[in-house]
Amino acid sequence: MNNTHHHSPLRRARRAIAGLAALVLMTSACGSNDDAFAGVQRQQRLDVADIRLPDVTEPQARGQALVSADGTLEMRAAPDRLLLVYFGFTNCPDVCPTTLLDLKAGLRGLDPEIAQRVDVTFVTVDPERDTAGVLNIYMPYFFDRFHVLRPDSEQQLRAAADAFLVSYERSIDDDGDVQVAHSAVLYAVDESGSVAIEWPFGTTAASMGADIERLLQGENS
Amino acid sequence: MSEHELAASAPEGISGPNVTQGPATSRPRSLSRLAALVAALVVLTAAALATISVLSPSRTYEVVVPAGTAASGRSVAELFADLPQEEGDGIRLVFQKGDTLVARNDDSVPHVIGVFSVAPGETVTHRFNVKGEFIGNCTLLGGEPLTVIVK
Repeated sequence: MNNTHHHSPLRRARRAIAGLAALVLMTSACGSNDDAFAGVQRQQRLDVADIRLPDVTEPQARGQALVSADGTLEMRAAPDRLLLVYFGFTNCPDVCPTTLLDLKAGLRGLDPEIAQRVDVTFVTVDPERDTAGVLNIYMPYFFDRFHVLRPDSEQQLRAAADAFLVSYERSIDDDGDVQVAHSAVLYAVDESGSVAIEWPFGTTAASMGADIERLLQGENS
Repeated sequence: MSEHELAASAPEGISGPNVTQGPATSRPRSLSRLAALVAALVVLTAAALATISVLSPSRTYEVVVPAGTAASGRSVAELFADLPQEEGDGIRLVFQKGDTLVARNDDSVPHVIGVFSVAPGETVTHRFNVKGEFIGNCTLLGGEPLTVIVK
């Protein structure tokens, strides 16, 4: 009996398995998208470098973002740092505190040396009720160091919101209570004053943390 | 090995004729190896199919906000009609991880479309890389919530 012919079914089977194994490896490799950011990366980044807002943070809690001599914070990150900006209001019952808690958890999951290169900034869209005192009581629930920004006028707030494409609307309901609707996005601003990443509400702490770490390593710059 | 030797080495209770056919002695081993290879083939085929099925469904969806939408003051939920949805409050868009949403705003004012804002004349393309439930509002829906679910 021909020996080669005798073993051909096994060899064919081995070849088929080898081929399938290669296919599995190839398709797995092609499908891997672990290098993608979780947040939204805009094709044409938002430019917010010209925005200045009054920083009303108590000196002992102030982070390392760029604050001018006139007390306004520049919307760009300090060198080798990342500026995170969130528009919200302290009476917000759910979205704002959830986002800030998620961010806090995301930063805690990072190497402290990386996390300390992040400046968290909270811009109130309800400046009438969110006084400097209120803001400085609110933010320490989430962060040791931070910046709270309170626009001096509606025009100033509107200009900042428009630059970030933030939507907000205050109204009085039938019970006389103030209702504030606002977009719930957390922004990462780089040294040039452009928005590198936008995280929609619902982004997990781990995803935010991973994106932050990569941004600080120079990716997406 | 002779037929007699094979018969002598057979276990008790097994009659001679069943174990005395020379060629049959190598067949069980070959068959078991073939069976093992076939089993491996089946497992690998299933893995390959599963991998391909994970990759293949990625799709791209597009939402275009027409010019004059804000001025019309009307809710335009029908803009999302072609996108996969599930029942619930407001609009609940359902995507698979890896799907892409392209949002183009031909209107004269910015519009929030669920998870991002789109400036006038801008097109934002976002690939949903992470599973989760992302909640936003939508200026197109008159304040109705717009939730994006990525599975």
